[in-house]
Amino acid sequence: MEKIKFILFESFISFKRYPMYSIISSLTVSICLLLISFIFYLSNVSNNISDNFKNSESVIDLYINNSLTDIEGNKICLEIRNNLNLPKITFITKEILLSRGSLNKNLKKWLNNDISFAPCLCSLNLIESSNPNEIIDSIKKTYGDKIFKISYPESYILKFDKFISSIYSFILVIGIILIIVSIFNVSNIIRLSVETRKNIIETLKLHGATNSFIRAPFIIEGLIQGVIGALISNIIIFTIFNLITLDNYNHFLINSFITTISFSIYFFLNIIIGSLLGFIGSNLGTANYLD
Amino acid sequence: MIRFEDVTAKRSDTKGIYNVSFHVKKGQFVYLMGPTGAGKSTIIKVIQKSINIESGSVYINGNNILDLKQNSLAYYRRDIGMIFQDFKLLNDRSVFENIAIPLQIIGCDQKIIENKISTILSKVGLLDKKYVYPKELSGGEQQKVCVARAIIKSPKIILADEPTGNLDPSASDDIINLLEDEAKKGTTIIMATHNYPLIEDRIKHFIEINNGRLIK
Repeated sequence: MEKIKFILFESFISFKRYPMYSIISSLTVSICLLLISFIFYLSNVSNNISDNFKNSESVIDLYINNSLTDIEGNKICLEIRNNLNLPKITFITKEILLSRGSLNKNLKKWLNNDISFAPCLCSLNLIESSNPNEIIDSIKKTYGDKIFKISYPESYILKFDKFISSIYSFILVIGIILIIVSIFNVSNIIRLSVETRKNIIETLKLHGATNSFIRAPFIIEGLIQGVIGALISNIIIFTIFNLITLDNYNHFLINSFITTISFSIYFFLNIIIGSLLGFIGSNLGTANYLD
Repeated sequence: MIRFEDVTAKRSDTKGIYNVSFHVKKGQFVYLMGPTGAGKSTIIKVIQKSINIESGSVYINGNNILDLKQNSLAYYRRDIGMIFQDFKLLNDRSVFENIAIPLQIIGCDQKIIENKISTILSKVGLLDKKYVYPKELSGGEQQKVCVARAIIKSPKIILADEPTGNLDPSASDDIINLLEDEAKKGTTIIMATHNYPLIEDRIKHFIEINNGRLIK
């Protein structure tokens, strides 16, 4: 019990005895954590981009035969949605479809406002679990004669998905490298602080202190510095969360930058990684001076 | 108590001891004499097992310290009190905190620590300097703190490496008096010194060494 008291006392008193080293160590941890949090945020953004892109672009366009009117086309569209349990469909009338693009003003004039030759369009938004090929087959089977053309940009989506997943892997590699660099960075800072106290280690050794007894205060000190560093980075992240707010724009790319991870997850992630950095750093820092 | 049998140990290519043998009995106060670089500190470091020996055997209380495993080294050192020429006091801790270290290492109760430190500080005449920091003390006072730190845990052996090297004659006498008191209680003491005039009136047992080899 007395030994534990001594170890705890030594761990906390060092903040008073060596304030500069404690501040520098804590700040180093917090900078490393901010970088790691940023990498974590980027991985979230790349996930968001991938999901939002699929949601907005993963659409099957059904051009309904021009022999059918807008009302009939809309009816088919609703039927398909109900049969396939799709969350969202968009029906576009012949007129709206034709009016897309500037040349259509003259075209309408030339056609004498007769737009019956044009198809209407039914856009089906797919959900993540949907299998587009199965849906297309099923539509062809049921409504084959009523559908003029089915369009689905599969290769475009797959390419984008591949691109995003390679970015995600890149971010993951950078994250892992950053964590390793952080461990060495923090351990070097703590090693510097241990260096100034090697006379304490020598004195303790000569008076019969065991390695674990010598190491314990440094490890607890490292843990505390890690937690303080985590709290500093959490304060900065919290400020960013509250100061920089992205409005919900109607564009998937901008909306993807709004993190879907709550602050509490960043908070606990920082506390855990901060403590780990402090623990590993102080262990490596003291290893040089112990038998 | 301490037996060296044909011990050879090197600290560097030029510093070391060669085929040294001697025997120190329990409670003896032995002066380890010789000029600077003779090998006195090497003998002390061999006993505290800070350096490894190349050949020979060292027996402490009948046990060969070569057989000591890494995890039992710390417990072995708890029976040894160390006094250094440069004191090796921790300047960021008070006299009380410095002397308390050996007792805190063995997990002594805080009240016992306080009582023991007050007693020992009275003995060395520094009770009024209990909460003073080492830098505020004279060299003689710092060495007294160092002696107090070495004897507080009542060790079986005290190793003093040139403890009077940085002190004036009067302070040196005080330190040796303190160590002699401990020897009377049964503590085995080995004190390295090159200052023969200081100890010539006191000397009973001595080991003389030069160029790493035993002379007497």
